[in-house]
Order: sequence, then C-alpha cells, then structure tokens
Amino acid sequence: MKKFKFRFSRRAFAYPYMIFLLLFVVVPLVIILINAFLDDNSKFTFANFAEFFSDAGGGLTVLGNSLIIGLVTTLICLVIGYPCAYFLAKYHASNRVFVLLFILPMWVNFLIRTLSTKAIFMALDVKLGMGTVLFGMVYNYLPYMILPLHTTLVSIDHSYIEAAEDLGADKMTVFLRTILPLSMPGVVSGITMTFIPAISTFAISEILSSSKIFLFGDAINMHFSKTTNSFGVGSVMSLVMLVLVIVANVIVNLTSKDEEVKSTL
Amino acid sequence: MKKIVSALAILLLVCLVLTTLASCKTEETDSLVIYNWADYIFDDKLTDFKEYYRDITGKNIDITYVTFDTNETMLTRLTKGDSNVDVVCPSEYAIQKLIELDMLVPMHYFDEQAYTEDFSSNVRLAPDGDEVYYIHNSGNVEQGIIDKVSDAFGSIEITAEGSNQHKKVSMVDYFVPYMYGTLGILYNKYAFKELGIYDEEILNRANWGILFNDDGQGGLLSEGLTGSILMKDSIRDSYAATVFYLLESGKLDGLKNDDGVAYADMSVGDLINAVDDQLLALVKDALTEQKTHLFGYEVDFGKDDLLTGNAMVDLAWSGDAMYAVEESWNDSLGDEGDYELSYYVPHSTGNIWFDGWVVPKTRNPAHTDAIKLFINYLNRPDVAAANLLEIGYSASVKSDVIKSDEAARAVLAEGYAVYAPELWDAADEDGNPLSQEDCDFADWEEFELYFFHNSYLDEDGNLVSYDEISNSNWRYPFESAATNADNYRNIDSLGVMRDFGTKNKAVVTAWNYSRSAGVNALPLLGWTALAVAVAVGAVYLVIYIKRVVRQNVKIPQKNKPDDSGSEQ
Amino acid sequence: MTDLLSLSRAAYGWIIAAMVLVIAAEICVIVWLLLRRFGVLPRQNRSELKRSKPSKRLARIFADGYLGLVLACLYLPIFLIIVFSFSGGSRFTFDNGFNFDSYKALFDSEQSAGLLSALKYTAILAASASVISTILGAFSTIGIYALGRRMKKITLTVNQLPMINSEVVMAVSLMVFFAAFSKIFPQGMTRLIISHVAFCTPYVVLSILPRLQRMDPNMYEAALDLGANPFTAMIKVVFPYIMPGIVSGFAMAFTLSLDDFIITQFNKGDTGIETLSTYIYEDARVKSLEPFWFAVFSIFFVVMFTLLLVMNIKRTQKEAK
Repeated sequence: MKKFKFRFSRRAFAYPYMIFLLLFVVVPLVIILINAFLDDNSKFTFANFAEFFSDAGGGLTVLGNSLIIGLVTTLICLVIGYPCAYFLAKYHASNRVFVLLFILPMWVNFLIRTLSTKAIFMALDVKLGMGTVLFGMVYNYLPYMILPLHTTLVSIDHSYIEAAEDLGADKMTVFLRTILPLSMPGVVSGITMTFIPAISTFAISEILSSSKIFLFGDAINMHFSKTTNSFGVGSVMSLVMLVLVIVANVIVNLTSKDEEVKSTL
Repeated sequence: MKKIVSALAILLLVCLVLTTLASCKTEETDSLVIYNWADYIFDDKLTDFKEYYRDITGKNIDITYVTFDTNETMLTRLTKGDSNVDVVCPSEYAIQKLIELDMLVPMHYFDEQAYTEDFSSNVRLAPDGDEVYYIHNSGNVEQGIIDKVSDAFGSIEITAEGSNQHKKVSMVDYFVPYMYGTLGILYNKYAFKELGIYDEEILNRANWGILFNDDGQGGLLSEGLTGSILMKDSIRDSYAATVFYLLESGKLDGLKNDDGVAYADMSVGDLINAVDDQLLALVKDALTEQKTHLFGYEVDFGKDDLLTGNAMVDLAWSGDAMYAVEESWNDSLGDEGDYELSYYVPHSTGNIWFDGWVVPKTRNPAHTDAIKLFINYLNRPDVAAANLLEIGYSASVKSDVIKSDEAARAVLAEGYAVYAPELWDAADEDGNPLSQEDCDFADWEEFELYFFHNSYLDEDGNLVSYDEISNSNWRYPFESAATNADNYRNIDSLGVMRDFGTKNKAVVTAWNYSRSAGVNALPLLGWTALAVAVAVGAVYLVIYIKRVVRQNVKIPQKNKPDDSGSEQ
Repeated sequence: MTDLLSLSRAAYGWIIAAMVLVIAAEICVIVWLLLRRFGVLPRQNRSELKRSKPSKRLARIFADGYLGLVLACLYLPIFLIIVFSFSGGSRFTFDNGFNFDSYKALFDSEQSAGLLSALKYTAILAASASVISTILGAFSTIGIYALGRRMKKITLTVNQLPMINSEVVMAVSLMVFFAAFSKIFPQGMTRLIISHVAFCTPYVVLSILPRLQRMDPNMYEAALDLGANPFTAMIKVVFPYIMPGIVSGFAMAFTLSLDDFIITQFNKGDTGIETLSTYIYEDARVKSLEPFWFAVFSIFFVVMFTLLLVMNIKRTQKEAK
C-alpha cells in the first residue's frame, strides 16, 4: 500500500509535462494535419495534396532539388568529416581542446557564419549560386557530422582492431571490415543530423544565392510567412517534411541500437 | 479639542476634494492604437500630435504604435481577430478586401459634416477665441487620388455574411489617403553607360523588358545584364511588371480574354486586373524564363547590391527608389558629381498604388475623437511635408498646398538644406548661420524645381530634367500630368491594381512555380554519383592490386602484431 | 622617414594588420605552450613518434596536415571578419588604413538601439525559457522515471519529437496553433517563451534521465523509511544526485534558446520583439554586411570562443585531478 502511494506521488510530477507536450507538440502537429485538408473557406478538400503532388506550384521540383542538395551536402560532409573524426580519434582522442576546436563553430550563430561567408564571396567576386550554397551548407553542417562520428570512433573497443590485425588483416581490410562497420551508428546519426537540417533550411540558401535557389525550407517559409491563404499547401509540405524526418529516424533506430550516440547532443 | 477635530476633519475634506479634482484631471487621458507600416511616419509627428490633441480637446493622449511589414501580415492579424487597433494604414487592395469582409467603419472624410458629426463636445470645432481649433483638411488631398481610386474600384460589394451583405459601397467613404507611389525600375546609370544601353531610344524601346533583359525586339538588351537583374520578392509587384512586359514585347498580341476582349486593347488598369488562366500561364513562363538573367530576389530594395555592382537593375517602389537615388550621390562622377542610380517608370504602362487610413470595426468606440483628429492631422501640409521628407513617398496632400504653406516650406527647406533664411534660420547644428554656398540649394525656387519637377534651369534658363532618360517626375506624377503633360508621362498610363480575389491562390501558385524553377540539381546528382563510383572503384582497385601483389610476392605478414603492440 | 610617411594609408593598414596578426599568432602559441606546461593539454610523446617507422610518421604528418586544413577552412571566414573589422569598411581591404571605426559604429550607428533591444530580448527569453524548462524538465523526469513502461515509452517518444523534428515544421506548427488560439496566447513574449520551452525541455529531460537511471532506487526508499515524506525525500536525496544532469540540461537549454532562429522567426509576431538571430536576419541579410556587423560578429566570435574554451579547459583540469 505504501509503495503504491509513493509511486503515485512521483508519477504525478510527469503529468504537467505530459499535458504540455500534448498541448504544444502534438496538438500543433495535428492542426497542421487538419490544415492540410482544408481549403480557404475551411471546407474539407484534397486540393492541397493535388496541388503539391501535381507540381503546379513547383513543390515537387523544390523537394527533388532539396533532396539532391541535401544528399550531396551530406556526402561531402561525410567525405570530409570521416577522415577528420578518424584522425582525431586515432591521434588526438585524449586532447579534448583540440577536438573541441572542430565543434566550436557550431556554437556561433549560424546566421553570423553564413553572412560572413557571403561577404567574403562577394568580396572575391564569386558568383552566388549552387556552388556557394553547397559551400555554405557543408560549412554549417560539418561539425554536426564530425561530432557523432568522433563519439563512435573513440568508443570503438581497441581489441577488435587488434584482433583483426592478429588475424592477418592489412590496414585497409582492418578499416573496411572492422572500423567502418563499427562506426556505422555514428555515420547514420551524422547523416541524419546533416541531412534533415540541410533539406529544411531556409536562410542559408536564401542568403548564399540571393534567394535564387529555392529549397524546401524556403517553400514552407514562403507559404506560411509571405502569403495569406496558402497555409493548406504549406501544411502539406510540412507533413511531407515530417514523414521524411520519421523515416530517417526509423532508419537510425534500425541501424543503431546505441543510445549513447543519439544523446551526444 | 473639538475644534481641533473639526479643523482636522475640514482639512481632510479639503484634501479629499483636492485629490479627487486632481485625479479627475489626470483621468482625462485618451488613448489611440495605431497600426502602421514600419518606418512609415516621422516619429516626432506622433509627439506633436499629442500636443495638438491637448490643445484642441484639453485632454492628454497615450499612443500605442504597432507596425507590420506586409499587407498580408496585417490582413491575417485583423481577420483572425488578433488585434485591438484603432487606425490602420493598408494599401488600396487590402482596403478593398477589408471592405468586402465588412470589417471597416465608413469615415466619409470628404463630407465634412458627416465626419465631424460624432465628435464629442471636447473637440473645438470653431474659432471661439481659442488659438487652435479643428480645421478639416480634406480639401488638401490630391483630387487625382480620389479619381483614380473611384475609377479603379467603382462600388465594392460587401460579401461577408451579415446585415450589410450585398450592400454596395464606395471606397472613398472608407479611407483617407496617406501616401502613394509608383512601381518602376531602379538602375545603375553608370553601369548602363558602360554596357552602352544608357540611351533614351534603347530604354524606351525596352521599357519593362529591362527587367527581363529584352530589348523590346526579341533580342537581348545586353549580354552584360545577364546575372545582374534583381527582382522584388513580392508577388503582386512582380506580376504587374511581368504583365506590362508581356504587353510591350508583343506577347499578348492577338490574344483575347474569356469575354473576347483583346488584351492589347484593354486600358492599363483593366489589363493588370484581368487575371485569368491564359495570362497567368504566360506570366509564369516569362518569370521562369527571367530567372536565367537574375542575380536574385531582394526583400529590401537592393540599394547596396546596385551600388556595389553586384546587380544593375531592380524592380522598386518610388519611395525606396528615391531614397536609394539620393543616397547614391557620388562626388567623383560626372563633372560636379552625380547620382549613380536612377529611377525609371516606363512611359507606356505602369502601376500606381495608394496607402490610406481606415478604421476597423474592432476599434475602441471611445477613441473616436482621437482617431478622427489623428487622421485629419496627417493631412495638414506641414505634417505631410515632415512625413514625406522622412519616408520618401509622395504624401497625398497636393503639392500646390505644400508649396504655398509657409510651415511646410520651412520643413522642406530645413530638411534639404535650402538657403532660405525667410523660412528657417539656416544655421548648422552649432547655431552658426549658413552661407548660400554651404547649402545644397541656393534658393527656394531651385529646390522647388528639383523637388516637385525633378529638373533644374540651365545657364540659358531652359528647364532641364535631372533624368535625361526617363524625364519622369515620379515624385509628383499628378502634378506633372496637370502642368507639363507634354514633357512628362501620362497619368492614364498608370493602372491601379485590385485584389486578385478568387484568383489569388492561382497567382501564388504561379509565383511559387517560377521561384522554384530554373534550378536543376540533377547534373549535381550525376556528378556526385560519378565521383562516388570513381572513389569506390579506386578503393577496390587498390585492394585488388594489393592482393595480386601479395599473392605474387608471397611474403607472410608476420610483423603486424609487433606494430600494433608498439602503438599501445 | 619621408619615404615611410609617403606610404599610403592602405599600406599602413596592411602593415598594422599583419603586425597584429603576428602578435595574435604569438599569443596563441604562448597560451598553447602554457596550457601544455600546466598539463591541461597532454604533451605528445615525441620520442615515441621518433621511434616509430617512417611510414607511420608520414601518416601522422598527413593526418595532422589534413586536420589543420579542415580547421583552417572552418575558421577562415571567422578570421577574415575579425581582421577586417579593423578596416572600417566592408570591402575586405585596408583602403582607409587600420582603424576602429567599425567598433565606434557600435555606439552611434542606426542599428545600435535595435541591437541593444535585441540583446535584451534575447537575454530575457533565454533566461526565462531555460529556467522554466529546467524546472519543468527536472520534475517531469522524476515523474517519467516512475511511470509505467508503456506510458514511459509513449512519453519519451513524444519527448523526442521536438528534437528530431525539422525546426521549420515545429515553428510552423506552433505558429498555426497560436494563431488558432490567439485569444489565449497573446502575441509577444508569451508565445516565444512557450515555444522555446517546448523545444528546450526535451533536451533537459534527456540529460537528467541517464543519471536518474543510474541512481540506486534504494536511496529514495531509505529516505522514506527514515521518515521523510516523498517531497522532502525528493529535495534532499534525489535532487542532489541528479544535480549535474540538471546543470548540464540548463546549460543546454540556455544555449539552444540563445541560438534559435527559425522558431523565434515564425512566432515573434509583429509586436516589435527581435532576438539577436532575427535581428541579424532582418537587418544584415537585406543589406550588404555593414562595418557595424563586422564589429558585432568579431566580438561575438571572441567572446563565444573564449567562454567555451575556458569552460572546457576548466573541465579538463577538473577531470585530470
């Protein structure tokens, strides 16, 4: 009896937060869902979906472009970031301040960084366009890739590598067959941490291409803050984004059982 | 003892009466909530209004000033019931929408009796020895605005459900004009000179095609213009500019709308309001095509991009353009310095817009005095002059009224450093009197020519326009239409744009489409795939070679464990 | 001497900038050496490296070179902004020589007042949002920990939503939500604080939960057995134990709220509230970067970096002990 009472009293502490989550996280998403099915006069309609998927407003094109740019950004980040994280883990694992230097830019407001890069591009007479946007994306998201990779690589048990070497594997094989598979959770988590923001950002592409390159985040922003009466299509886009996020996270959960990686940030 | 008590009681009573009286006096404070565009009033005039209000009603007033940055934000806030404002300053099409939604109170500003009817007894309407009394300023308002608005909107039908449904009303009864301006092209004169297109004939042939890098005859205006054009990140303005361009480039020739009227035969006003699917498809294509020539889309007015040479042309509103042009004065240009930027409203067609004060039904009825006094106050010549000086657009007060009002002239003379000691004390910040050379304008006449006519007298006494290309007095289009019709553009060529109404959604969709078009990331994907394939191939090749080499040499890998041991 | 004087202002600017750079580099090296001297940074075992095979040494040099290159790329833009904040212009040249005009502009520019009010709102918002979300997070974590398995899982999944969800979607959904219930949630700080709490609290919960899971449940029960009521037990026993989690959760909430742009941008409404991020976006994005912003950015870089470095060095020192 006593035990029940104490459990009850502690549990009660969770209720306010549960209500809070319900009210300010779940309900807003439900409103977005409802909005996706409403027309201007608040009547039920599939027109918003039709407009988005028929590409009348260029929504699908934008999504396609964003996915490609996000993918390429992620790949470049991975290609640059993996060796970085690997070398850091191999040679500087104990040197915390040095590792921190790679993460530090993350804590400086991204608008400041992006505007600085734009100013430099302008001074160098670099034409703003796809190239500059990609640079800005990679520049912004590289730390997000390095951080989880580094965490996994550092935590790899050294005995695995030794075992592989003992069994006669050369360096390349050790890397391909042992280190790479073991660092997979970090890779996957790094990819989601880069990919999702990269497809939904709106300020980076706006600043670094003078709004010429229009990404999915820009499109959502446009529907909600620059026009009236187009919340419907904007809501459909938000839902698409939400689905992408959920899919990405299901993949992460399938590939990584390692809870630690996810809680590094 | 008794005496003392009664004395105290009396004292107390007196105190009480006094404090009540005092509190009565302080309670006489009215309030007013103003909802206006950001940076759309001279702040000092709000303070001055408080004084004016006290003079005229004997009461103090508290002003709450809230701003919005687009008509859409304002509409959302008003229609969602998210507001408690007393006066709002939307653009003409937003006013139309608010009227249709039956959200506004009719003001009847141009009928003095109706306007002043519901003033409380505090407002001094007639001069009975008071220095300050109410003067109705509706006569100061430019008649051209009223004509244009009546022409463009006719009678508006209230569509919202309620007692007023289907009632037809006139917009003039609902709004009081505040500022107006045109839509045009802001460009870098000197960059154009370098490209060899700073030429009256070339530009007048290209007209709105300048924004599309089209010379008006199907060719490119200039190779150098590609990648240097800025477009306004605004649906309605881009739509208007594109329709004008379509008309001028002959792309509308032979096309008719659903009623069988040829687009080319429509008046400018009818054309920009004729939003149908055919026209929209053409606009969409033109905007998509335009993207290859663009530097980008801007949200402010691209002044910096134009001055740093990143861009050469921009679609701009007259007030922003005026500010940009005045800021672009460069001493090293020309013989005695020159404005680097210039503003051009193509002669054939153009858009004119109006912002005005309206009163939403959700206002606080107790604020009626303040609302009406404030709106009328803004049409006083000196107040209008101060505001137009601060924000750069054309005030709705007739230029003749401003020119003939002593106080208004003083405001302008001081603002533009005109050597006119009869108007202001012509002194610098430290109080030292300025000489004629210190001032930017030698006398009021020179300034008047510059400011109201955009021109000056040359040595032979001929009137010369500052802007030899466009010759357009864009600061006072109505003035020039009336006085100098030959030299300046025709006011009839400027159309007023109504709300898109049911077509709004289709326009937004078309705009979104053209914004998203022109970016093709597929080649990027191809290159990346290729790079990945090459990289993976290289890794496999290395592994393969290593294996082959190892098999051929057949050296047993024995020393490996030692290596890793030393690393520990 | 006359030759020297005839050098242009630009040349002087470059020379002084170069000198400042050299001095800055020297200070960096000295600090680095000092840090190593006091054992904050581990000394590399040079002898070990020397003993190793040449190929290994080469690999090491390659690795360090690569890391150096990436670091250089990451810091180059930041570095350039700091250097040219002393040029008084925004064209990345020392046309007007070496001067402090950009820093003077901090006080007398048109944006000064706006920046000040943005800083004020940012501080108020970050402080209130992080305090609220820490308190909410701390209590609710204890509650969540005590929940049944099913409810716990559901709550933690929903708790994850703001973390994994794209910021734009979260921002937009809150905006639509507030617009729908605008009578209850007036525009302005209320909305901003609620939305910031909504995306900060999950991080607080997740930073406290692992510590709670490691705690011996008997401690709490022992306190109850010794006569403490549940609340006292909570304050006296549980809280001290999870304190490090609460502190790091608070720090995280504070920085997240400080750094947020998208959610603030969508929910600030038109009451004139701007935080630092939205103010930068509104002002610096539409114009080319003015000298004023060079100074602001430089100060921010330096302050942020110093703070984070000092904090981490202190932590490293503590752990070393």
